[in-house]
Amino acid sequence: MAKAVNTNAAGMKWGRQPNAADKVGAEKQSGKRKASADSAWVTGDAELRIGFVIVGIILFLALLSIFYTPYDVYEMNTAVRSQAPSAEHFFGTDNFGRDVFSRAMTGARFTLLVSGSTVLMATAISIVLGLVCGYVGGMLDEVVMRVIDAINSFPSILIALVMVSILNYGKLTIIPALVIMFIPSFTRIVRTGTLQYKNAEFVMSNKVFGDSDFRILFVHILPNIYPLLLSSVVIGLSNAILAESSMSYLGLGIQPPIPSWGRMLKEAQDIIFSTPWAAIAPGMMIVFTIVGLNCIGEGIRKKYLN
Amino acid sequence: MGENILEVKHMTVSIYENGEEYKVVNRISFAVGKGEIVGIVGESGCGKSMTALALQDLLKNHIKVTEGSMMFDGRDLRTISAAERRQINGNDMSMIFQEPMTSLNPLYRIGAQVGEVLLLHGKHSHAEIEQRTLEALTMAGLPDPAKTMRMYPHELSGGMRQRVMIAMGIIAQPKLLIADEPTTALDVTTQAHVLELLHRINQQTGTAILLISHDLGVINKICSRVLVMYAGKIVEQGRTEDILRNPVHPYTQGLIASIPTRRMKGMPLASIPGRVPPVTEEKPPCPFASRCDKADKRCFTEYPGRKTVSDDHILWCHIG
Amino acid sequence: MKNKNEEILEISHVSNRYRDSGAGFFSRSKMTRVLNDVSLTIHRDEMFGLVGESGCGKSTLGKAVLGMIPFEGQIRVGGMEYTRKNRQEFTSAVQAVFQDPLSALNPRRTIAQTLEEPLLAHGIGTPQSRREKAVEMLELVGLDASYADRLPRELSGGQRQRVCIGAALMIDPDLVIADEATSALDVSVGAQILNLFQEIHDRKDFAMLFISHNLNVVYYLCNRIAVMYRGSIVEQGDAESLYNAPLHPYTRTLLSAIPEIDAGDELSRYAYQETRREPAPDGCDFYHRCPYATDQCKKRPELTDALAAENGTDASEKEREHLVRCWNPVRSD
Repeated sequence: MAKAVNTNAAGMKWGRQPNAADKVGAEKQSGKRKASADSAWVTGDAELRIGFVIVGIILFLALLSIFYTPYDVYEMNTAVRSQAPSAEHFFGTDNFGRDVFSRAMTGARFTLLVSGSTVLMATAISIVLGLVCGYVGGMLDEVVMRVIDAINSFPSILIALVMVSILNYGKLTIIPALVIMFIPSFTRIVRTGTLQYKNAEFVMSNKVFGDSDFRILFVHILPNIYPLLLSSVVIGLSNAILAESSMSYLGLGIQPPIPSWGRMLKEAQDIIFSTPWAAIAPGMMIVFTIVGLNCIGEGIRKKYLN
Repeated sequence: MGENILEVKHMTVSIYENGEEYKVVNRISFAVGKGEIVGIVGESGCGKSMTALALQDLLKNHIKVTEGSMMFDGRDLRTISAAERRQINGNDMSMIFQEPMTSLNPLYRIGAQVGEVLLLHGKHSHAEIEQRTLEALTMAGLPDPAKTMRMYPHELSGGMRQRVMIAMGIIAQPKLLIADEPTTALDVTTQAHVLELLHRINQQTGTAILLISHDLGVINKICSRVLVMYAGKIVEQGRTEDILRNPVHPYTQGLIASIPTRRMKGMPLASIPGRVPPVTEEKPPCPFASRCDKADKRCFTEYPGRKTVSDDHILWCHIG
Repeated sequence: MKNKNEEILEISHVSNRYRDSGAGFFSRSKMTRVLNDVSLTIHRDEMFGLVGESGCGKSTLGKAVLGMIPFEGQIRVGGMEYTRKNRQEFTSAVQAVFQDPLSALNPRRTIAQTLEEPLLAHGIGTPQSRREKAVEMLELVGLDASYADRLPRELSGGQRQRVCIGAALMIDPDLVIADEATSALDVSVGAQILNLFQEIHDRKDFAMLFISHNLNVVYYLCNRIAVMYRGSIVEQGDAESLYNAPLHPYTRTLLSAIPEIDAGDELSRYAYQETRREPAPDGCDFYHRCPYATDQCKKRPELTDALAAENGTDASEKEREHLVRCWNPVRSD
């Protein structure tokens, strides 16, 4: 038997003895750590950290709003109309005397709920579509991809408008409308990844092992696509927040009096000169969340795809 | 042997990665005589290709020659100017790569690519260049050189492309031709042709050849001398017959015994345990010590000095 | 002991073609033949070598046996033919080891997971028993339990190839196809893998189709050898007679082209020579390169038993047959 591990005595000694050479090695090690800290922007760690902090804060505020907000979100208080930011009202109050900070917290909840569930559903559907199209190919692939091209060729907001008007004008109609918007890009990513891996040698060996197609797709191919998909999904999430906000701004999203960031922006539009903070607060929340999510997306791409 | 065309002394090549320096070639010295064919043999990661690239000044940005001298035809390649360097590259010293597929530009005809070197150095008329190109292609053993000149790379087989590469390498009648694994991508019958061709070129034009290969058989076919490299060091060097018949270094012995030959049928091959250490790994003073079954204490504490086995057969090992 | 003469792999009249659409938009597409009426049989516990240069169709044949590409003709492994439906049953009889062990392992699954995969695919055992078998296999291929939870990228090339070999043997297949299994490895590591094949083959009961471009490696490992050229088998016989007394000019060319490290090896008696002439479209595939070709060679020869025709030996004596596709096989001495 050829020995995989060298077992001669001197060799072991070289491996274990803490001699001078090893110390040099240890110093080099610490030097290396310093060097890699400098390049956190290169490895994507810096982006990931910044992104997680920002998104973490927003998420915390959104979750907190379920149990506690500094003021009631819906209660109008004429005594404190259009007040500038202060110690009592971090982000000031709007023209009805509602606390903008509390509304932004609750708004975060609804905005994240809508965009999160949208992206989740779109991802689930796209994974199945992309895997099957990429793996099976042929006629099925052609048909599905042409339908997706068709969806893609319309401006997405237009499709959402049409969807909302076709479907009942309910509280959450916006979700299926947005799901359809996101399916094309996610499906393409999954399909491209599947095409890349379906002829990989390890997939061939799995076939030779006797694995079922189902297992090959979901256990062997899909996990290899995750990093690519994940970074796109995170970016997709930020797009979904933007889309939800624009729809709500157009009055097609979440219906009043529930606050969402887009809704708040729309309501603040009329009073932009008298109470600018009513618009700035949700606007800033949107910007921060999107910057945070994009940081995470970029971080994932750098860290796992190179 | 007379004069040397190339003399490398204490050359070190380092890779810089994440602020660390890793020596891929560690203070090696060797010489190539005028008109001689010298082989460098070793496994992947032993530094043989880095040596070739360093000689041609083709190292990537994060890899540098950090020590030593490379005297080519009386001039040190490390100290001359970039302009002088360009004069030498392709003219007095040229190189053949492993991949004949990617080494040719698919958009230009063979004739234009082979004649390029002469055009660059600007001393020849077009008619002359065409004449020389034809001669080089003929010498490289292409069956119909006039026709080949008008063809594109994709119209040629792998073996033909490698011949075109060789024609490119010899058109300026260099004093030294560096061939980095020139036959590894080729079939065994094509390999035989290409080796024969290199040998003939050496005989007819007196071009010295530095042949780099992982295959001792290839080296044996045409090289008069061979350097055995392991983990950035030359461990043994000498005349090819001496090294093959009478290897002294345990690594050379193991390498030879690893090759399945006719005589080994039915017997286990005496393989070397373990693997070539990656460049990033810290190695004992004698880099082979951790895989060597004869290694003793000295091998882990001090670098073995140069020993002369016989005339021209040199060894770096405590044991042999 | 199972019957030694049981036929594990039967390949009969297998051909494979693909449409070559040419480089230009309007160039006429033509059919290119990769395999041309290939037939061969491998018996139980046999090491069978398939040699040829790149593009000769040897890897295509391997893929055809594994059911990965469409073909004409019939391939039976242990009496079974591959269909999409019986993949599970079929794969319990045939497994494979590929050239590049890094790409043959799923980068996201641990060594133990990869080794357990064939068991899982065939629904064998419990999680514990599968794990035990995986560790046992690691030891058989010269690794140990400490490798079980590592990822492929933490292993060296040779160790990865050991894992691939182990995975192929997990469900005790009757046939293992090894396609250039040592070609991507360093010389010293390749030797370790060859030793491992030899050793495992002594301890386990399986036949092997060993595909390689290196005639020396094939001779070292195999009992019988077939030489392929342009999609056809040109010579086939027991390793000793094929290697030491090759009959087909192409086999001889191959042998003479191998750069040997023993200059004094008797093989150098075949001076390497090659001729070039206009190819004969309906003739012998080797006609345009053959130093011995005659006018007769403009007609395509059949694969015939050279020895039987010569000294009238019993053709049923399978082990001794030496087939050659040549009108005038070269006689040494």
